[in-house]
Amino acid sequence: MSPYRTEVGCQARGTLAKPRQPQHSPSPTADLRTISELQRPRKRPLVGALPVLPALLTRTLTALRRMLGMPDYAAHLAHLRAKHPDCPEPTEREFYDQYVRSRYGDGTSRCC
Amino acid sequence: MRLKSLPWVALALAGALAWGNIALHRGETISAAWLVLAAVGTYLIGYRFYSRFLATKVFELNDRRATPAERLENGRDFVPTTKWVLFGHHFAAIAGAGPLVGPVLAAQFGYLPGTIWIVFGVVLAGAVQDFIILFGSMRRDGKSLGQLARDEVGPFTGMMTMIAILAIMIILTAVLALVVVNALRDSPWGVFTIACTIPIAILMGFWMRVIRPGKTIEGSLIGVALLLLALVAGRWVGTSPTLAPLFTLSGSALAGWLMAYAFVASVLPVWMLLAPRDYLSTFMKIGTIFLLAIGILVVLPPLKLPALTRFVDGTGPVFAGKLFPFCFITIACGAISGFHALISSGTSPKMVRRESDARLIGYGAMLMESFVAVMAMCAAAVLDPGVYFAVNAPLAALGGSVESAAQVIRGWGFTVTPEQMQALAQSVGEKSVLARTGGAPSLAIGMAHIFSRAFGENLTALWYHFAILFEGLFILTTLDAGTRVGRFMLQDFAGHLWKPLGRTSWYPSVLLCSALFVAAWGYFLMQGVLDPLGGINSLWPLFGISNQLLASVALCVGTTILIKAGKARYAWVTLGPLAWLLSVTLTAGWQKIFADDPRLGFLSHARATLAQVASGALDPAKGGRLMFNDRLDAVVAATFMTATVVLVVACAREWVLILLRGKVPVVRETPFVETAYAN
Repeated sequence: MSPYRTEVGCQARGTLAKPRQPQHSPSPTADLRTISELQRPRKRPLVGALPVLPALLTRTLTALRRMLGMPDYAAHLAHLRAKHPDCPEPTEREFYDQYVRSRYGDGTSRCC
Repeated sequence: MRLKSLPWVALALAGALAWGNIALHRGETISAAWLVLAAVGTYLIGYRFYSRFLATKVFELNDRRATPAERLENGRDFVPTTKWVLFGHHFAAIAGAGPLVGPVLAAQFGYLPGTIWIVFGVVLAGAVQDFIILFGSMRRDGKSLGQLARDEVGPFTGMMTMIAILAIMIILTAVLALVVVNALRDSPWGVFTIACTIPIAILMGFWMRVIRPGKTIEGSLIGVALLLLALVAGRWVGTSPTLAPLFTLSGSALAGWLMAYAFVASVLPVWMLLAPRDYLSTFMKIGTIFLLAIGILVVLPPLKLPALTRFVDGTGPVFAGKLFPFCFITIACGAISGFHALISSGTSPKMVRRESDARLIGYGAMLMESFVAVMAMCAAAVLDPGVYFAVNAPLAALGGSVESAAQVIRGWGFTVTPEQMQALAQSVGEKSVLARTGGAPSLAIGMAHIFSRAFGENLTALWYHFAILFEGLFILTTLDAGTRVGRFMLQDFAGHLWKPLGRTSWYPSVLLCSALFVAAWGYFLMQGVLDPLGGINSLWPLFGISNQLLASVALCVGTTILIKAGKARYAWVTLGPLAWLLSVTLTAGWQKIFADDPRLGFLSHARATLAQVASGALDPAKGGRLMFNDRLDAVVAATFMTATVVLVVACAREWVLILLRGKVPVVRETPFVETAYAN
């Protein structure tokens, strides 16, 4: 039994597709991932506009986005490419829509 | 003694020295530095020792355990986030109007009681609540407080928690709206600037979704630039003979506009108005808090308000009630706030990368919030006491004019002259600052003083309106978000009655439930606006009671989690604060309903109004309305108290069953999975 919850296929669409086969439990030494790998954009530019930004600035911007609760398209794409390679990738606008709807749609308020 | 403990011992001594200095200063004005030092010293000691005790002995945070962010990672809401980034995120989520307004109102008792409650309350109660709810939610895949209550205690408790949350949302939204109304009444500069935030946010929304999708930071920077432009333009609008009357609105007109705004904003799609507003207000919030901290640290202003005023006896003009219990009701969010339990079980538990990070995020972020409250207390205490009371007391208590106010305030033992008030009003760019209740204007004046001394002498009016803008901006965002939350809950309940109403995207249901919720809080808002005693007087204690009710529920759920996990011997970490909160909340609720003083007790106020109508001093229609409102408020307070007692009894029953009757506790944490991260 996979220790990781069986993820529903193609989260990009948010539809309940047929559940995928459970993944094999990873050995402790394989698949060691750190946060910087998720945050650092891959060589192929994911954020189309500014591929030549130094890595530090990109990391700062990503951290700022996470702090302010803004959607992080690069991280989502990196996740999809790593975990669900056969899922269609959402466009930036589609992802933005899904993100704000899931964040504010179910109503978590900020007050005090 | 180990060498490692040396810095902490030094810190403890420094903090104790600061408290000692505050205690022994015997009437001379002291500098804000001592308050800040005492607060920071206490926080660091609390964090280093108490939170570590909680993390290692009570919760037993296990870094080998995979968090839900790792297991359920989806690149959207379950995203493992590094410690400090998540700290910023969580702090941005919990920071709001509460720690700014509460301490300013409680300064009526002097700066000392409020500060002691803020600092010690957060270390022993508030941060513990946030920490345990974050921990409990994190171990259960990010479940919300209502779900936690339902799963750990029982479906009845879960249902009652949801109803309590709905009731709290109504009062909270009404009170925050009232704060904005009181700040913007008859202030064209303020109204213009706040009104501008709406088109600016809509522009940002289109920018971030349509024109340049995903460029959120870029859009936010544009928004901030436009906002500052609107702020500066406001001065011109405020003095222009054609535009100023357009933006000069009375209290009831403003209330109407706020209700209309909240209704429309809550039915628009989130990307158009709410999301950009949220980014903008978070940006401004973080920036302003940062600026205020620098300002206070640079200026280290002397505190002119006395440590204790005579109003601890309950005769205070800002709100009625003695020091106990009302100081602890008025200051909620800086010390302990039930609302934080909702947020601690919201987005943050899904983003914790490693269990031990929860200590910094749950406990630490709340300490930071408490520091904001201490800064707000400093900003209020730098005001001349006479000025503080002239701004915060309701017009009726001050006699109706600047001259009578000067006399009344002299009677209270403080001095203020009409010329002083006039000069102050001019320096902040308003026609009058007399009786601008609600905490926000006096905080803005205090902040303007600090900022002008730190950053620039001639900009006082700009700083004042900047502070008003900052408060109004995120209160309006809260109105929008709060109405949405309320609508979802109403739709959820209504869906049980008639299925189609429960569908969150069905427009008739959306419109109906939004309108219902806005009507509910709008009623209390109008009541506050038209209240001769000043709405803050009656509504803020109701809000405080409801907030502490939710905190009691959160602490009960936390205790249940501890007992079920076999940690009953540590249950005192939540039971102690719970006992304190219950004594404070129930006493306050009782006094608000049954006290003999008509300024304090709702029912005695109704009786006094009845006598006035009978003697012909008051118009029967108006008197009837006032009496109805009083009785309604009494019913609301009684409902909150009953709900608290019922919920505590329901939880206590569970504890007794487990501890004494041998019921086998079912622990509902998700099973242990070894983390794949290298730790």
